Amino acid sequence: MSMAASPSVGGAVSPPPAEPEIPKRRNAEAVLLAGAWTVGMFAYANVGLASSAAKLPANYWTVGVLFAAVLLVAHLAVRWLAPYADPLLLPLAAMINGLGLVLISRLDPYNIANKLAPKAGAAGQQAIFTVLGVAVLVAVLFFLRDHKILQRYAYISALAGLILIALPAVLPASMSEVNGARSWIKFAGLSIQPAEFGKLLMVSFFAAYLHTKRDTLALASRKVLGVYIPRGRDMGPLVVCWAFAMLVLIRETDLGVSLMFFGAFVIMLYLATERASWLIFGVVMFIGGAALVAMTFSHVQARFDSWLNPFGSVTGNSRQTAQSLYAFANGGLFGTGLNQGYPTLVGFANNADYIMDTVGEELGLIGLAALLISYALFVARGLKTALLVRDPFGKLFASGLAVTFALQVFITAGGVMRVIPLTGLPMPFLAAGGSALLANWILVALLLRISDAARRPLPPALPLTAPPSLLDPRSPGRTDDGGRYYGQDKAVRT
Amino acid sequence: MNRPIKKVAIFCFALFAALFLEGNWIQVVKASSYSAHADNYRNTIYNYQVQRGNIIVGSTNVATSKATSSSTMKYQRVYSNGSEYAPVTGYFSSNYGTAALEQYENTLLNGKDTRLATQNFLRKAEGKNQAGGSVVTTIDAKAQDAAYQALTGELSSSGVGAVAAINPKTGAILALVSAPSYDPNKLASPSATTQNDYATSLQNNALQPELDRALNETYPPGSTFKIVTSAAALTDGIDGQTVTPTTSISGAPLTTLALPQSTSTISNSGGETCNSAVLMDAFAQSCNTVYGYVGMKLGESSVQSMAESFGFNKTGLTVPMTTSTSVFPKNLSQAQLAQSSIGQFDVTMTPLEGAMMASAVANGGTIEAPYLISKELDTSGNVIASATPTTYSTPISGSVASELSTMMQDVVTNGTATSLQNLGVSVAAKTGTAERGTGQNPVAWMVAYAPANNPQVAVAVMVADNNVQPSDAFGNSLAGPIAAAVIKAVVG
Repeated sequence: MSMAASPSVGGAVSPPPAEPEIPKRRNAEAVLLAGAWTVGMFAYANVGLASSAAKLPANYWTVGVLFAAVLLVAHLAVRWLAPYADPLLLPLAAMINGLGLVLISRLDPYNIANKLAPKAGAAGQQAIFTVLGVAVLVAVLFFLRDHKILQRYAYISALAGLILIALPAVLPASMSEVNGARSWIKFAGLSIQPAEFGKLLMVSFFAAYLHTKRDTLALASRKVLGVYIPRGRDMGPLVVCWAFAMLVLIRETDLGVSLMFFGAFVIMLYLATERASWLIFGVVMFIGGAALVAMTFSHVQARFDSWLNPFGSVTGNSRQTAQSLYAFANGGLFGTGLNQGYPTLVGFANNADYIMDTVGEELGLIGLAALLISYALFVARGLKTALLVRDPFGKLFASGLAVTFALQVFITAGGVMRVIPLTGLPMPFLAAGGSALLANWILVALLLRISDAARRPLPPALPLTAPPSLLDPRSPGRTDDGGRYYGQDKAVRT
Repeated sequence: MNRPIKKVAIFCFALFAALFLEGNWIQVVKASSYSAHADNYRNTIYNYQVQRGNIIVGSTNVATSKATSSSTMKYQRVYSNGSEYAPVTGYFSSNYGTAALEQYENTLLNGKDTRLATQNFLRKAEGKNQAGGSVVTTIDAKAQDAAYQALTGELSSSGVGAVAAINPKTGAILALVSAPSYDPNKLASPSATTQNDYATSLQNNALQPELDRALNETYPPGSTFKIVTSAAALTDGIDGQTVTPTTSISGAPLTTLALPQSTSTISNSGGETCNSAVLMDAFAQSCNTVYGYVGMKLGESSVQSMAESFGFNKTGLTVPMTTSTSVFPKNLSQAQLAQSSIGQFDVTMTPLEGAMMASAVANGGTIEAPYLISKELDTSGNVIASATPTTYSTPISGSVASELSTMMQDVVTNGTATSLQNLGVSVAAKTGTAERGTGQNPVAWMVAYAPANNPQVAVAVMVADNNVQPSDAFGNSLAGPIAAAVIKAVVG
């Protein structure tokens, strides 16, 4: 950081006051990562010792070294590429990812025996995708040096996101349906959940779009009965997004994806405009639409029925909802201990939608609370990043990512725990599923990038005697910080 | 934009708070209710993962759990002398559920009892399997053996019978036998085929071996009910006159009792003529004409209220198994009352009720509530609960009890219960031979207690066997020897 010359007072040249040192917190991150590694390794040891063989898994130390190496790479990459990034995001993601690997390997024997998983089990694949996920994290941090660049690709993001989310609805069921939900793309032996990437692209688009339209959406409205009613034409984006959400709901049997996108959009609309009326419109439209769809389409109705009456039937979705509740009930306060419960009784999708059953049953309410707190902390750090970052696009983007993540956790866990009807989203970082894992690691990378920008010290104040061209925020003369400039923020402008 | 971000943060916090609250709801508040759901397969799994506690008689385990090599069914239930103790232990079957103590003490035996929570938490912490507590029964092995061997030794292939013996001073159940019986080992077999085949054979058996006839089947008590009728007469008197055992009931017929508003009559066994209308003599000889007359003279309310204070028509007696209710009918005509007073018409009782009748007389007029569990043990065998005798009812006064005692001893020395003579102790008893429908032999009863001066056992034996000569199907000849065997086992 170069020091600009201070204007001299009284003829003598005094050194400028030292910039307050902003702690980078990378060492804290390293310690927390070691903690995340330890949690995973203890859990994996537990699974092995509680199995009938009663000894450590055969690949225990290999896995341990590999996991440590992966975390080390991620940590060094952050040290190098985003040194001011939030120190909690990476360890939290690593811990939940590690726990997910353990749970999937714990469920594998049952799923292999019952031909519910890839022949070799899902754990190996998940481990590969964990490595790939961290590789993608490093790549994103390396190539995306400034999150604001994404603003330029807003409409491309929107198009790509829409296609990814809508594709399973258009593809024949044989290429898109897994366990009754058409939210997959299957080809050449691979199955990916495109909505996971779609959510990142859509949030990026929402952030860019709302950033440019926020004033129109916020100010051009009439006040009726204390509520700001937006102009009809400004309702356009909301209506389009709503129609899209309903389409997804109907075509993909996927209340989860639909709720997550629409929820994220409405909340970001509120963030951008600070108008609560958008929330009211959004919530009313979604509940109304979903209720209408539930009444019209039997497959959506079935989900509602099993939510309202989980013990009514012993077959199908109802049976799974009841089995899920039995698993949680069996876990009680302390849980049965890993590998000592019966979460597999829920049947298929025990390592995907229903992976929270294993947490609830085997780790108990205490383990469940710990996991929920970890997710909540992740969301909190994302929102903290949004508070700290200086540019409005970054604020919208970071809070959008955090809110999407929070909604996904709530919709998934809430469905399994019967707070809301069961949907069909994978639990972030925890559930088996390579595409979801990759997408979530990209999400971590994006939040790391934004938080690095948020906490990175501002370039030194410009001398008042600087040439006028430097005072112009758009002047190329202010590109002393990696091409970054901060002049666009309102706070700086006023 | 920071202000709305803070509000959204609160919203996100609320989402997580909702999940956390729901976790508390389903994992703590509703947990036991969800776990108890019938279709919750974890219960079945759990039952075979846990070292279920023992059911103990004396110092012998009549039901215990043996470790197997299987990982899903870690323990198998094993019963020693299974058929003999089946009415006590019941069975523990993966396909057919549980019965008797296995059912009623299930939470203690399977370790889910809250009193075992600490011990099982520590076991879990030590990495041991969960274990159950044990049940020590009040059964006297000698009495049970004697009763079972005497009963099964005597019954023909189409006969059924039951024995209930209790300690009249405490109510502790000393013997509980039902025949024919079943082998609970076959229902607890790890092989589902064995279980199913055996259950099918039980279902196809007309004698219904799975029934616990001592507690859960009722039979007409016949002349044993004269204990109750006598108690009512001695307590309430007849026509305002006090009645003692030596009172001669004036007006009582000795050969045939004509029933009012009816063409039928009551006669005595074998058409005999009674020796006298003295209550004690009529009791010893089991004189139907006198007792039918006494019943009509007493009136329905007198006989009925006495029967009810002995336990008839009272629901909900548990030992801990719920027992069937013995019945004394209501709204009787005089003819029906006369028949009911000699234990016919619609009067029915369980063998346990028979033993309770004897114990009231033996215990100075008070029936101690019968119970089968003397102690409950935790997983390491320490006593966590002991039974304390409680009074069930006091149907008669001490003086009436001693009068009845004299009369019942007279039944042995001078009356119908000759099979209980010469046992080395004085025995008080009453025989019963209850008529059933045509083509069926009577139900033979013996209700007794001994020693008469210091009662240690009150026993009721019921035998219904169609394969003996009807002339031999008397309480004294069929049920008497079994009662004698039980008395000898306890007293001798």
